[in-house]
Amino acid sequence: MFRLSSSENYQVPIERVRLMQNRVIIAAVFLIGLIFILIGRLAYLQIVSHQDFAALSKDNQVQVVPVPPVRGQIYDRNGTLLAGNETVYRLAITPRYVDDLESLLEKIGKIVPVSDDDISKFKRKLGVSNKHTEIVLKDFLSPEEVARVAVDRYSMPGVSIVTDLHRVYSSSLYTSHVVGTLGQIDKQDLQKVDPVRYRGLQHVGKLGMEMESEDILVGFPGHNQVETNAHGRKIRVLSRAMPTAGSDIYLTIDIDLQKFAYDALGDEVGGLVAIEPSTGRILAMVSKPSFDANVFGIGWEQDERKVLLTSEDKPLLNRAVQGQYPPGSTIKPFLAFSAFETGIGNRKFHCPGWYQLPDYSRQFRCWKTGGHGYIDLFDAIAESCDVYFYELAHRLGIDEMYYQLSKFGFGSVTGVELSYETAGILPSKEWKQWTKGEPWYEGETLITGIGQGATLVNMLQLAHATTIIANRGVKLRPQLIHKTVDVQGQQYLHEPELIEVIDVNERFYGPIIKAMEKVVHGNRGTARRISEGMEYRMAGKTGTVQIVSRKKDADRMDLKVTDKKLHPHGIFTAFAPADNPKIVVAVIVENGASGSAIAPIARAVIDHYLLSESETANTKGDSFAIVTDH
Amino acid sequence: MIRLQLSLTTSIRRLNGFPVRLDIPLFLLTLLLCLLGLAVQFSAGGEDLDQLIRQAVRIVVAVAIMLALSTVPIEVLRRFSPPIYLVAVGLVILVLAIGFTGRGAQRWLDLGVFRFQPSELLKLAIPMMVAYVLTTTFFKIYRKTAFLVSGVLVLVPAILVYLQPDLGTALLIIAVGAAAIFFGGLSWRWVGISSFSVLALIPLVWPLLQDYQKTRVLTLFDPWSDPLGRGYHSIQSMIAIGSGGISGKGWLQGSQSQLDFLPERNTDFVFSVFAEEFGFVGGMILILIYSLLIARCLMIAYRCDYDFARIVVCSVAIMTFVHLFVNVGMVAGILPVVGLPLPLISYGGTSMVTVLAGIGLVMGAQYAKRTA
Repeated sequence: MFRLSSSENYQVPIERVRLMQNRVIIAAVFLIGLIFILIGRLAYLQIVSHQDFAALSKDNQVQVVPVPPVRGQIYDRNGTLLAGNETVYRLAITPRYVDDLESLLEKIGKIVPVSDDDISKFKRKLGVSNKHTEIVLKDFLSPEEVARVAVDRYSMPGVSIVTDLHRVYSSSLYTSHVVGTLGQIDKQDLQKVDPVRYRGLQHVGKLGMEMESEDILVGFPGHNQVETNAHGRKIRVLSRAMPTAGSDIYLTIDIDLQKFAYDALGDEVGGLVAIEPSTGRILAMVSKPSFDANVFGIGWEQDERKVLLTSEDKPLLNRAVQGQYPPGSTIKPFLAFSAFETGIGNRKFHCPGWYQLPDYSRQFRCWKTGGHGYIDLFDAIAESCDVYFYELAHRLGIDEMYYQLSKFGFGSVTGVELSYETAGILPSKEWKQWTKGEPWYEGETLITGIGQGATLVNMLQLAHATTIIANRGVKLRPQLIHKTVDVQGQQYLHEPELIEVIDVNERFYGPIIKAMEKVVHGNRGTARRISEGMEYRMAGKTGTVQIVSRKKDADRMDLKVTDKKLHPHGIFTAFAPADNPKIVVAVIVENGASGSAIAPIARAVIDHYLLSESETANTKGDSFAIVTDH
Repeated sequence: MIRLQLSLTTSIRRLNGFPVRLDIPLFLLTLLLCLLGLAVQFSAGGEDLDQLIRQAVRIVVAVAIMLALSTVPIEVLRRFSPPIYLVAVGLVILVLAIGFTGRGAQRWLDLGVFRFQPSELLKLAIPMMVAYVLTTTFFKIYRKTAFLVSGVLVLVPAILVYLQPDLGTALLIIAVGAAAIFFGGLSWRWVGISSFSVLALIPLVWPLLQDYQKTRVLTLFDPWSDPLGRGYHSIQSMIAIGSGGISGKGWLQGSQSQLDFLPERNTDFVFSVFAEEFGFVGGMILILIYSLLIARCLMIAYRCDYDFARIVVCSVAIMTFVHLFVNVGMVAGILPVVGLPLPLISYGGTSMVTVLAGIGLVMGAQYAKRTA
């Protein structure tokens, strides 16, 4: 009867009902079988092995208490502490031993100040915790408060002082985006981490390197076997398995330069990345506005957290790797390589101040109203002539531009140890078809040629691309971790990592670096003002990103042209010394007016680095030997 | 006037004009389980009255939902199956998307007043949807297609839930969906083929599991290899159950549970507390009550001659059973720790609402046999 195949039985109700009833009976038999497995197992545990388990249970006055590991600390490249652990004292209550909670709270209140907020938090935790566990009433007791509580402790059963390690960020504002923060382990984290490894831990990295290097920093927990009496109270510790502390991390960041760069940006909104070109190591990574990691992660100031999360300036955003901006004219040196690669070479074009495509009514303007006249490629870089690059872009076409620019890493992530870095956008015909479902227009090719339109980069990408020029084609992975040191003191150096030597003829680097030098040192260079008193040669490129292209837009958006939010973004990327690059800097200031206006920031940072370098020349990085078969 | 028909089958009461189709045996059995649950909760929760009251409130809400669902005619439910299914899958995708942007796992949808786990809705929506597909006129003719479509309708949400990631619920959804297809009349040849291919898939799926999931499975075979680490849950749970013996240590007297050796004793490991305090006898009584509840559902299905209702009722029975089997199997150390609660007894409202809503459907479905 069980062999019924379904298809033909559908028209016959009686057969169908039979079939269904058979299925129910089969299922019932199957379930009964499974239930007997459960019963058998319970009988085995509770009857056959009862004696064994009863003995174990009686012996089970030994409790296992996890001992959390000490989290690894984070240092800068020279060993200055950035994220460390500090001992804090907390006042805790074990509810099991308390008869009258209200009067106890009142009594404690007389000894140390306890806020209503603390009490309501405590009561909330009380509702969901076990009565045998210590529940924290007040954090961060001062040494005097600890002493006062200790004196009265015996008249307050259930009250205890808990010693704990607390994460402290010593240069917090300067480094928050890179170093990151810790936060409470929540249910979502528990899905990602091994709960056994985090037993006894309350915090996990939530941002920056604290998050990215969680595995290195966290260590492994130990446990104490604690003998308890019949009421579960600890009598003595029987044995200990020591936890393994996490490894320390030495970042590539130079805290001195980081602070200098942070201050150099003043009150502006923006970001800055400095790279050591010989190794790809990141010397400074600044994002402004910043936030205090001591408050955001583990602190209890809910209000301040809310301000950070909702602020219009988005202080939590790491603008250096997450802030995406049109590169503006800083794209021009990279495009200049295409001119050579495709054989267009250093041809002169005429710039009347505007450019027009044959079938277009729209005029594409040069920033210089009167035009640059007849101008060659090098001067077009130095003076940032837009018309020259419209013409070049028109001749190259978007496919060629895409191919050449992607060699420098535009449109893809750099591979730095921050997994949330953005890839930016390098537009192509396929990209537009895919995202917008529209064909590519020639006008878009032109504005891509001056770094406007859909192209987006972050400052790390721009610094990375500039490093490739500085290194004459050698593409190194940008790195934030210099080395890790495990608890035994064993060092693990993160060696510079060669990605590739990009496919650009090395003859072209010299001329283009010369042109970038002219940006700074030339008579008409867009950043000529910063060259005054400079003791070294710098190669750079300015960029100015229009936010609202015409005054009409401004009217429509009901903003005044004088409104700072309408000012263009200023971008500047540079390396120095030009013949022997020691540092690359890319900087953006939102609404910073122009690339020329913010170039002094980069100069100050480079000055600071090169000058301090001459003092401490021996401690600086191990250079990367490159063997190529060019 | 309310007239109470106390028969052992179905009684229809009219409350303000709404017929409440109360199945007395099912009602009594669920109530009994809920009360037992409260008793264990009181012990496992460290005799915390507040916690007990919260659980009691959840029971009242869930029972209200059960009674409300029992009034809905099954034919109406059938018609609403596709939209319910789509909403459930949509919510799971939404939760997944929110979790994605928040860079972390996510199962919950926070509705302010309470939090809601859309994957729970799937536990009922999937069998209803499968039953719907298998009973449409079109698919009554094209049976092969019907079963194929049903399989996809089960697997797609199961994969979404697995991605949350929630392996336990994903497996439960597959089990319930498979049950619905089985009761829908899949031919034995295909039952054989699909069971075999599931077994064959195990070595393929194994590498896809998270590390901690793998160690959970491996720990099952030898918990004593790491008694203070990964084996701790299993060992403490087995000690609790085993030391309970035949008659148990008595209510509130379980040393394992009271002295904090047993982890998660309110939720996933609540059966260990029960077995420690009430012994083998208590455990047998609890399993008997569940068996009667499931048997009652299957009985209703057996007598039912409306296809849709029968498939749904059977699936609810299977869902309850899988919860029971996996949970008890897990605490007794014969199944890996996957985190399915013991229905109606574990602390928390989500699974309680799901199971009682399912039983509400069963009560309502029973009425269908008289009209269909």
